Amino acid sequence: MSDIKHFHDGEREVQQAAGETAIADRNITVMSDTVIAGARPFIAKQFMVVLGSMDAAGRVWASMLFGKPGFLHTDSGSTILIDVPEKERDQADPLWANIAGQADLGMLFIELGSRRRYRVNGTVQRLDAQGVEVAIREAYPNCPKYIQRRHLRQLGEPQLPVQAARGTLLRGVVRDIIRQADTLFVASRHADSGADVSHRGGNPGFIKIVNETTLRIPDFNGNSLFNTLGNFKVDPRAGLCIPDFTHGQLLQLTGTAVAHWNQDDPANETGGTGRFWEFTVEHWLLRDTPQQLEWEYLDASPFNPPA
Amino acid sequence: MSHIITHVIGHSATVKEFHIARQDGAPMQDWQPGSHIVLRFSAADGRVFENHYSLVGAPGAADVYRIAVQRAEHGKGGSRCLHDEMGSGSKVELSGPFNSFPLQAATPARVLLIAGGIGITPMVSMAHALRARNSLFTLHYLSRNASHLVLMDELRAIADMPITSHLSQDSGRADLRALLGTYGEGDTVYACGPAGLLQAIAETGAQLGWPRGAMHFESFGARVQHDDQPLTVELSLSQMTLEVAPGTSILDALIAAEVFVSYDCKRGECGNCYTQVREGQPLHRDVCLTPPMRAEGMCTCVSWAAPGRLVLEL
Repeated sequence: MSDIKHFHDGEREVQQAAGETAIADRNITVMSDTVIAGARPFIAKQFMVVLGSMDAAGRVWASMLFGKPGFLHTDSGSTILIDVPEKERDQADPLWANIAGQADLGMLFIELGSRRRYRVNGTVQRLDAQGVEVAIREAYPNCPKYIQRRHLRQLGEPQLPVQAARGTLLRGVVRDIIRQADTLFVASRHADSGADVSHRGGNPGFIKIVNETTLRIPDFNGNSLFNTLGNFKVDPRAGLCIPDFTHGQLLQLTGTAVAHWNQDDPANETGGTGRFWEFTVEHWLLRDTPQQLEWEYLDASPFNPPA
Repeated sequence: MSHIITHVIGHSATVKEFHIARQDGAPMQDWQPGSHIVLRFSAADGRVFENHYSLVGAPGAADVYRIAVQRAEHGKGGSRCLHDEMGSGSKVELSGPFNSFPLQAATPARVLLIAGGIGITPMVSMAHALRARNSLFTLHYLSRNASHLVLMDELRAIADMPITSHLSQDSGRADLRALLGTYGEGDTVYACGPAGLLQAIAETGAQLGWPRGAMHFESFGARVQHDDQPLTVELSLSQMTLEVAPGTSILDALIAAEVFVSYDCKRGECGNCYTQVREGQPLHRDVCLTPPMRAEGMCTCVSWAAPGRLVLEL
């Protein structure tokens, strides 16, 4: 443990502020540099992966890819393959240009139906017409808290091109998607430890629209590692991806984030932490998913604080 | 062996205090309120024990660490070994201090300390620290009878120590509703004691409007019960079946089988190992889940199940 530096200064600072350094140290023991045996079949049966990447200007983006189970797999446990052939890539998703230029990639394998998730961060080793191969830097399981259960009933064939809209202000349909959201993914990065993408969930309304450029998101009790808040401390650039499960759309936003501590929280939106983070949007992108997706909502996480 | 027991003090029929110093006589590392150490020691019969003990006293710099150990007649044997075999000069291995029960930043609101039995140990350092920063706090000490109260002289020596004892032999079980009171913004409670007491505090607190994040728990004691039966645990997603014998937690059996699971505290305090239950009757022994959470799942680190099928969504 003492020989390896597991946390960067931003993560450490935030862990100390939360008084959770010891928990982080204990928790980090579940982290490995390969995908453990039990997680390999899990990855192989997923039809969805969430990705965090950076564009040439340094903006951070969160994306989601879908495919038939088997399109994600790891054979050795030290690299992960994402089999999305070139003709099935929606080039409107910044992901594809991003990973051609910047190798850092955060991956989250999350099965909404069973609330299981496995986080893998690494670097793109190969990007060709067949797909992507990612060398793993760190891999670890995350807890099932705050995940709303959904089953995917049907996954269509990819059809391109799809429609995409862009903007800078939070208005109209974009506001509606945010107001109804119970699930979001947040990507962040650090110069040394690379890209990271993580899940945030709550009851609809847990993401508050402060004004036309600002969102406020409560930070619940988690695994005490503070990867995301720790990254913000050093590099505030952040990417969000908010899926609209009903209409089969993905709202991707990029901008900057800052954490606020010891905030008044009379309605207990944070579940007792008093922590929020505010996201300032610079650009947003609203895309249809290339595949038609038919989701069935099952239930909310019993861990969600009231929104 | 890195450390040595320098002194032993009897506090009651079942509680002894041990002082531990480095063999080379150098000072110990500074420590924080609520911290614990991990002590490793060997019995004469060759058994090796590794137990966690809260540090006792005023936190900060120290030449010796103090721990208070209750002899558990039916425990795994570590406390009996310390009581019966160890004395001044005995060698032990020590790691830490670690702090998984830290005192949060000061607020103007009230702080409640609740100790059940030997759970008084971390409360001594918390009381010292709270007094030093002039916080408004009260210590409730729950015990069977007056002869079981330990460390009272030390607690009374802390200036204006607000301490209330609740003796179940005299007045029955403590009234947790009265003791917690209605939640006011910023209030915090720190409780250390057997899992059953902490569960009752968590449930009563929830009824009185205490948010989960305002209640901090450190539990101890074996959760295994004498009538626990071996379990057959089926994993519906991994298509595996595990046989788990009492004494091994379901979580440890999952980890050994390389099932991918998340976990943290392994003491039923954090909920990170929460797992959906498809079939079966869990016997809940955590201190963190609400009734709606228990209706669907369980903490595999400490909870068990009634005989029959237990099917987990893993």
